[in-house]
Parts: sequence; C-alpha cells; structure tokens
Amino acid sequence: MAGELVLARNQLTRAAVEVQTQFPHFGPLIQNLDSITSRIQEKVMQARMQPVSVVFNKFPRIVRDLARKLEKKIDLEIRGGEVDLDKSVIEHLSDPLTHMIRNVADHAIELPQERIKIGKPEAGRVELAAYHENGLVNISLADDGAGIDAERVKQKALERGQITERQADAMSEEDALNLIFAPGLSMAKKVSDVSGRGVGMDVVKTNIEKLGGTVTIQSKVGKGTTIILKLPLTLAIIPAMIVSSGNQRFAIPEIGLVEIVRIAESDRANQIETVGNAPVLRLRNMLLPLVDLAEVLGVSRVWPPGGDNFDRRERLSDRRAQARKARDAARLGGSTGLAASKGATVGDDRREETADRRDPNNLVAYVMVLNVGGNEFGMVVDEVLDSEEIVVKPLPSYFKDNLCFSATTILGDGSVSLIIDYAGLMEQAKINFSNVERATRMDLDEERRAALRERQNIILLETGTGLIMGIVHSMVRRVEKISPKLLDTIGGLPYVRYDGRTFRAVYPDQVMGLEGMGYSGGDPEEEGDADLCMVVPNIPNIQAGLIFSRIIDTRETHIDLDCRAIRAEGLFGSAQIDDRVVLFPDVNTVLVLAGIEMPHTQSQVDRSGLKALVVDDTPFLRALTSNYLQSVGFDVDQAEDGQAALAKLRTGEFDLLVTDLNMPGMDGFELAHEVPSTIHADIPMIATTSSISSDVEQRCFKAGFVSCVPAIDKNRLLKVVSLMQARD
Amino acid sequence: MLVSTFTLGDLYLGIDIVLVREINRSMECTPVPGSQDYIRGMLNIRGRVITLFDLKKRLGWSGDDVAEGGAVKQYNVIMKTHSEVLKINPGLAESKCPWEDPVGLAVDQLGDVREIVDDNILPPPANMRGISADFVHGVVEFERNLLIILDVAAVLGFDERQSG
Repeated sequence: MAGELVLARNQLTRAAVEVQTQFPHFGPLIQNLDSITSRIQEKVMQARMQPVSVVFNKFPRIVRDLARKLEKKIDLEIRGGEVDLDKSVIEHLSDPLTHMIRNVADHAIELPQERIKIGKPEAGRVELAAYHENGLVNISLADDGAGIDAERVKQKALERGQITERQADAMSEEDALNLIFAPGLSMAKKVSDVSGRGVGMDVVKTNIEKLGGTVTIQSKVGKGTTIILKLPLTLAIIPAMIVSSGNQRFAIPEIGLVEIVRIAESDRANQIETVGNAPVLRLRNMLLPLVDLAEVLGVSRVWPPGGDNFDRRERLSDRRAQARKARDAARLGGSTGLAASKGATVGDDRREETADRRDPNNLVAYVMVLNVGGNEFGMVVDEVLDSEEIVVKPLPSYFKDNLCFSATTILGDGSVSLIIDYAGLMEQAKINFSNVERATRMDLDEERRAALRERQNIILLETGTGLIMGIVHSMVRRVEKISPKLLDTIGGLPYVRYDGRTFRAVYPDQVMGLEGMGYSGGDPEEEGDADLCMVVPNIPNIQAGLIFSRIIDTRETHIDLDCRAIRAEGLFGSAQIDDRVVLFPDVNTVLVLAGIEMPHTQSQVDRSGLKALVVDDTPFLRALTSNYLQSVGFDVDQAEDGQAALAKLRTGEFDLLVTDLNMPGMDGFELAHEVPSTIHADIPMIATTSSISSDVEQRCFKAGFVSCVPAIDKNRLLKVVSLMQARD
Repeated sequence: MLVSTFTLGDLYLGIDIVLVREINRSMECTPVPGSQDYIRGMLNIRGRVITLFDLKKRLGWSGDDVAEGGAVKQYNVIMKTHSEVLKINPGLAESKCPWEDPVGLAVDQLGDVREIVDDNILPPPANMRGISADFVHGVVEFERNLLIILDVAAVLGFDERQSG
C-alpha cells in the first residue's frame, strides 16, 4: 500500500506543475502532501525492515523440542540475526525455514550413538546464518549430519515414476539433489509426525521463488548438507535516478551510484578519450571505462521532436569537429596526419550527439559513475531527469534473458520504465569492451600500488591510427626514419628494406587489436607521402621493427601506469603524460603476436610448475620481469622490496629469485646476503639492474647471484634461466 | 465456446473469451531494448505492468504489412494470467494458459463475441496464408469467413514448455 501511495504522490506532483499555473496556492499544498507522504513512507519502510532474528529466534526452541522428541542431541548456532529484511520477505520465510529445520533435525542429524560410532561429536551441529552478498541476503542452513545420498534420491524418484531410468543415468549429482525439491518426493524411510509426508521441500522452493529468491543445495554423504536461500533485500521501494538515453527513460538504482559527472562540451575533449575501441573518462587521475547506455541497449538516438533541429546539429557538429581538429593538432605539437584527426572526430561523433541535446553554447553529457563489485565504470546518458522513489515491479518473464534490466517500475507520469541492472549492463557491454575486460581482474590493492610513481626514459610515438604509445628507451636499439617507398609486401606481410637488410614491419596498434577506434585507418594516398618511423627493439638478431607514423617526443618522466583502464594483449597498461593517454606496449609480446619468432623460443625453456619470486621496487619493471618469467611457464609471485621478499621466502616455496639491485630499504645485495638464512639457502638468484658494468657483475657473483642481467632484457634473462635448467 | 474476435490485416482471428481479461484502445507503451522484435513493450494498466506483443510481427508478417496496419488505430487485447484463469476454469488454465505474467496482444479491429460449437472447429488447412499453423488452434467457417482461433500459448512462446 505504501508503494501505491508513493506512486500516487509522484503522479500528483507531476500533475501539479501544470495546475499551479492556474491555482497558485496549489503548489504549497502539494509540497506539504509530498513531505508527509515521504515521512509516512520512511516510517513504513522502517517498520517493514525487520531483523531476521524475528524468525530465527523461534528456532532454538523448536530444535530443543525436536531433539528431545527424537532423542538426539543438536546444537543450533545462529549467526547474522541482525540482518534486516523486508517484512513481507520475513513473513514468507518463517514456514520454509521451519520446515527445513525440522527436516534437518529428523533426517540429517544421526542418533547420538550412531554419531559416536562414526567418529562424530555426540551432538549434531546445525548452523543457521544470514549474511549479505551481492545485494542479496543469503540464509544458509548447514548441518554436519548424514548428508543426502544422491543415488538414493534418484532411486526414490524412479520408484515414484518422476524420472525415467534414462534420465536417472544421465543425471548429475547436483541435478539429483535438486530432485528433493520435486513435489511428492519424501526421503523419509517412515512417515512421522515431524516430517516425511512428502509435502516439503517443493513447498520451500515455491515459497522462496515467489519471493524472487533461489534455493541451492549442496550435500556430501556422511559430511552434511548446506542449503542456501538467496533472497532480495526488499521488494518494495528503492531510490533511483531517472535518466534518459535515446529518448527513453530508465531508472538507475542509487545503490552503487558513486557520483554523476557533468561534462560540458568545452571540457569534453580534455576529459574523454577513445583508446582502442573503448572510450575512457579521465576523472581525478583515474581512467574510467565508459559505457554508452544507448549504445549498449541498441536504442537509436532520436533527436527530440522538431525536425529542423536536425540540420542545425549537423552544422554544429561539423564546426566543432573543425575546432577540435585544430586543437588536437596543437596539442600534439604540430602537424598531425590528417587521417588521425579525422579519425578522432569520427570516433567521438556519437558522444557529440549526446552533447548536442543542449544549448549549443553549453553542450553537456552526463556520466553516471557506478560501482559494480569494486569495479567502477561510467555510464553515459543523455540527461539526468529526476531522483524518484520507485516501486520495483518484477520484470515479465519474457525479458528474463535480458541482462541489462533487473525490474520495471511505473514512473510519475504513469508510464512504465525499466530499471537498469549494472552488473548485467557491464556484462552486455563486454562486447564493446573486450579489450578492457579480457584480462583477468587483478587485485585492486596491487593496482593501486602499481600506480606508484616511477621515473623512466621513454619515447613517445604516434601510430598511423593516432594512438600515442610509449616505449621505454632502453628497449629500443634505434629509431629509423623510413620512407614509405621502402615498405613492401611479401607474401601478404609488410616488410621494410633498410640498410641492405629486410625488416618485418609490425603495426603495433593492429597487432594489439587497438585500431578499431573508429579510425578508419586513413586514406592510403595520404599515408603515402609522410615519412614513417621504425623502432627497432633492443632484442639481438631481431629482424623486425615497429612502425609508427612519427616520433612525438622523448622524455624522462614519471609513469603512473594504470593496468586496469585499457587492456589488450601485448599491452602493459596506460598512463597519462601531458594530459594524453599513452599506451605502453610490451614489445616482446607485440612481436610474438605479430607472428615473429623470437630468437629465443619458448620451446627451449619451459619452466611451468616452478615458482619464481620477482623483487623490484618499480612496479613497471616488476610487472615486466614477471611477465617474461610467466611467458616461460613460471608461477610468479612479486615483492616490492627486500624485506617483503624475505618475508615471502620464509613462508613460501620458490625455485627462483629475481631481484633488482637498487631498492630502497633493503637492496638486492643485502637481500642476497640474507637469503641463506631462510629455507631457500640454495635458491638460484638472478640480479637485474638498469646500469650494468663489470664492477657490478663482480659484486653480483660475490654476493652469490648466478647472473646479472639488464632489467628489461628478456632474452638475457631467459637465457640465464635456460642455462640453469641445463645445469640441473 | 465463446470467442472474442478481431481482425489483423485481412485475417479474422478469435481467442477463447475465458482467456481475455479486457480490451483497451492502444496506448503508449515503453519499448524494451534488446527484446524480441515482436514484443512491442510494456504498458501500465492500473498499476499492472503488461507485456504487449505485436501480433503482426509475431506472426512473422513482413515490414510492409506491419507498417500498413500501424497507421490504423489499434487495440490491445489483454489476456488473463494463469492464476486468474485458474479461479474460473482450472482445466483450461493448465492446458491453455501457462503464462504467469500479464500480457497483451496488439490487434487491428475488434469484432463480435461469437458462440462456436466445438465440433465445428477444424484443424488448420495446410495452405493457410498469413499465419503459421503453429499458432493456430483451429479454424471455423463462419458466414463465409474463416475464423482462425489462436493458440495463445504458442503465440506467447510456450509451445516448447508444453511439449517438454
């Protein structure tokens, strides 16, 4: 009823806007009604939310009584009684739970003498717990009793003709266990007044599902059974933001909404960038992946009624595109290839439209920053309309396979609207975000640490598609300016003739699958004139070069490497340098991806199953070294300094230690000195350093290192590793 | 049985009246992005959220036919749900009305309510135009018109569940 009241209030407030023009006194009256309704609703909601202990509290007594009647000993432990649930959920929870508990007491827990015989404590343990998980309340009932024999359930179901023999054979254990939810199936050997009348678990399941919940069961014969009920927190009213996208309104639950960012046209070019095929928003030094709601849902953007606006928009769009083209060129420090800036315009066009909805002088897009299970992402909407208390109505079953919506609601004007399910939306958006989402989720703390500042000498380069990439100076042997005329295609692959030798040309953006950012790649003719530059990586005997359109700059700078915002195979991560997103490719992987055989192939070294510890204070190098070792099968653990490494060496098992020499606190030599005091006294150690000299090498050997290699030299490192293998 | 009839283009269709809850003039509905194209969207009728099926699209009519009908003022035939039918006729609810959520069908013109003798219902002829036999419960010859009685469960996509 409270829900209906809120709905009526919402509708009335909306209607009041028009009425007010005629009756000026009407406004305050409505406002008053509005506030009273809100207060009533609040009170009702408070009254509605009740702790589950209301239900739980009656179980100790029930269990005691049952135990006495059945001559068993049962300890009931209740946890999480303070978890609040909607009253309507609680009401419907009592019967199913009582039934489940009776079942447990009767069937699951064995008689004391039996328990002693099989080595269990005399008293059976039953644990009833409530806890929050993923926005749902879980109620679990676990016992350490006899468990459910899946085979026996099958047998019973067969006897009763509920399944055929063929079905029974094909049935997994899990499915068999779920049979106990089938109507009419009783597992009790004999009917008692406690349970065993066959009306039971099916009723539990129906009741829970009516509440929008689910029931799962796990059981091990002899060990016990756990039944978990997952229930929605509330069925009634949630606060939500009403937003519009593509002329349609959607409700966004305020749970999980972190903030709303309004992006004016003037700032937009500075804040939103398109990298790979994923647009990202720069927000307080974080790169936030963006999802365009309309795009994900496949809603076509419709310009609001009034056809003549359409033309005006096109003109505006063009004009702004020109402006940005100029701006882009300026920022990149001079003559950008025409193709690149044209591409940028195309890539952003969609967002352009978003912004176009407003007054041309102050075009705006809104980004709803949402948090899904610790991952933040931004959802682009056209407009933020209102904040409303919405009455949640279940989604009709015809849309159950739609990931993006969790429920429906009725808005103030009486129209139906859909409630967005963030998690589902994120999942749906994966198609557009494959690069962002492909990599496994790393530990958040780890990544925060990875964002530590570090100083590196890097070369900034621009690819043919306008991406900016950074390559650490020491990974580059030389950079050559080449004329496009030297580019040749042999056997379908591009090659460069240079200096009497033939180099395989690798386009890093294409290899990493990042070129699909709406940059059509430019016209071949335009590409034809400008000189290209080829970066020859610092890998011995490699006959390949990475092709970029030009060098932007070389500089020594801090890198805030963000491994999370943009992800692609062959990419370490991204960082911001001079307000531009710079991608850091893993040159080795890029070459491998391009199908170039490394002088040092994987087959020579395969150390899978072994564990290595990588110690380095700079996250970038640590990630790099780990990456190299992982590529030959090592299971890599990382430590950020000598102390942390020692701690890990003392507790874990490792087969190889690779450490940086220069580290704050305890450096590599000190670490080497301490290693014999751990259980890893004879662990092979490899030192990495950025400045190698014979003096350093001497010291390394004295300290007990097997070898000393330059920090980013994959081949040297792997060679040493393979030599060690040979020695084994 | 009593059949509520309506037209869809040049088809004359009927639905068992026990399954019909109410009939409204078509009103604005909220499309659901990403849903099947034959689902027009959702309606709010007195606080109930109703899923509206576009019957023409569901029957697989081509774009032209649909556009032609779209200009005409349409009607929504709102169906009863399983639990509503259960109160009136449990047998019918089990056999013909498996859907739990309120649904509606968008149709062109309304016809009369006709009394039909069950024996007159014939199986759908093989050469029927404009509608797949899967959606047809049966046909009745009626004043030289062919009245097609819809199998609503099949239209709503419940045929698999029934047979399985």
